[in-house]
Amino acid sequence: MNAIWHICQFELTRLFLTKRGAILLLAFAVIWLIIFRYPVLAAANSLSNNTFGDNLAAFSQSMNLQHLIEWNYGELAIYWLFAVFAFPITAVLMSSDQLASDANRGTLRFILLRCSRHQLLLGRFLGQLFILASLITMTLFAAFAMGMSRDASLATSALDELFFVGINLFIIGMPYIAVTSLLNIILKSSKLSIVMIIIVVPIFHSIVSYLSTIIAPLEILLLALPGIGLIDAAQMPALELSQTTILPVLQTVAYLAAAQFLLTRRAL
Amino acid sequence: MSTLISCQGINKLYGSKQALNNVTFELEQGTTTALVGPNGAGKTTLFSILCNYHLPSSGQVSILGHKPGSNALFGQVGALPQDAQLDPRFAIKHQLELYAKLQGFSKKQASIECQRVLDIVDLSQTLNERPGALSHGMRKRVSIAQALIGEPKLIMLDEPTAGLDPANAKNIRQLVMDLSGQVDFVISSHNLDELEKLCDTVLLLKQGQLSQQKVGQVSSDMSRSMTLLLEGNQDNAQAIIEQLSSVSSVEALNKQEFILHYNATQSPNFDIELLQALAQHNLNYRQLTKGLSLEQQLFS
Repeated sequence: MNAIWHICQFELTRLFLTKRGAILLLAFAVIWLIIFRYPVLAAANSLSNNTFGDNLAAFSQSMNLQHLIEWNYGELAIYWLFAVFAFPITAVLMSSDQLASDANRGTLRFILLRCSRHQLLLGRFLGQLFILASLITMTLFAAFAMGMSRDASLATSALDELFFVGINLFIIGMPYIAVTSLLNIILKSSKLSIVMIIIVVPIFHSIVSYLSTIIAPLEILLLALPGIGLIDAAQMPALELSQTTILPVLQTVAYLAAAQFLLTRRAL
Repeated sequence: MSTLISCQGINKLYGSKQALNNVTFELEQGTTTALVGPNGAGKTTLFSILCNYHLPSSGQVSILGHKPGSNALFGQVGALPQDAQLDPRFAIKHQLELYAKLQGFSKKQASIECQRVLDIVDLSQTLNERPGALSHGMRKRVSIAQALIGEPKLIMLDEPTAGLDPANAKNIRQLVMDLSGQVDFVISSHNLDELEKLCDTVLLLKQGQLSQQKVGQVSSDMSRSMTLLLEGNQDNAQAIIEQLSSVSSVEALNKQEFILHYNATQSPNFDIELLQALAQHNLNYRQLTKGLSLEQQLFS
């Protein structure tokens, strides 16, 4: 366990103590600043406006998002809608180089004299999970603070929503990190791993979706793809143990098992 | 004496190419071993299998009684893999401390250990540098430093002096000599002169096959031959040496270098007789070596 923890800690320093990590963090901060400053703030104000709020309620109902109107903090509701799609991409970008560069450079050879491949894989995965959790926490509390600055009296009752959003974002991001681990081992390239997840996976999703209208059993293939339940997650009214929550966890376990299988057999 | 490394019937296939073919050998603890062979002979493949970077297609490998990659070997085996580099984004101290911590050192001990191994390779001033700020030779020495963390029982070095200037190469050789006795080394190199100075056992790989396992310095053949290197071209040298009664034959490698075969029973002090004869005929010599050079033993 110690080795896993040391590797995990090193991953955290990779983001917070390197130039590349600092640039990624800066980009992340700027993007979220823009999101908070414009869409979140504007939408939250609209939600609190009774006249406009009625129109928005009708629109939300058509999108199956009517439960968001009922949240204590509109800021959190709008944040959730952005974050549910933004954090999977963030997770992929942040974790895109879990093993590839180190394998190509030979750095893994130094590390593997001191720990097993299993410990390396798990340590780096956990490190990326911590990074994801810290990014979610920072932005989530920023959204919560925006809500509090508008109406502090609702803070206690909004804690449920805070918890719901945090846990769900974390669960949704997990399979993306795990599939990046797997693709790093298969493709030996961080850039190819990003391309594969952001471009190839959606294309594959579209093709399988189309084919499954002709051959229905093919739909099961979609379960192997990360992000298959993102829209369902956005529409989920509360934290619950449904397919939307369990599937990402199962996908994470499956991707990590496949990564472990390949890594123990791969020449490094 | 217990077994350091045992390889039984190791085969390694890359597609249809057989990189290692039924390689079997055993090394005892307390040895410094050279791994030699031409390019593509399988040296790095064998090295990688011993370090658990590659898996053999078949066969059994055991290091200090454990399979490569076993938890029991972490900290017991150090290695300098060929062309492996540290992460350019982190300071050397940061990376070496991670390696030490993975070997079980506490944070404070890891810092001390990091300083110790860098001191050994004379690079303690680079502690806070990133690898990119160092020369090739310095990076290699830092890589050797990482292999020394935790005083492992076995250190495997793949081309440790390749690309180094003579002064740095000499420092590395000196380091190996200094540590010999405390640590067992397996050194893969093309530099036979270097290996001859450092190693007492040789593994020769040719086309994936282990053709020779041990070249002892006191084999019967060596005790009856000497290698003589003269200064400058001295045309009559061979004839003068052949006149010595105990010399059975003289083989001229070139105009300056000769291999002398002699009857050791007849002349137990042949080296003294030879030197006296050279002095009498004003023949200056540069080097006189008992037995054959490693190059002669392996490739003649």
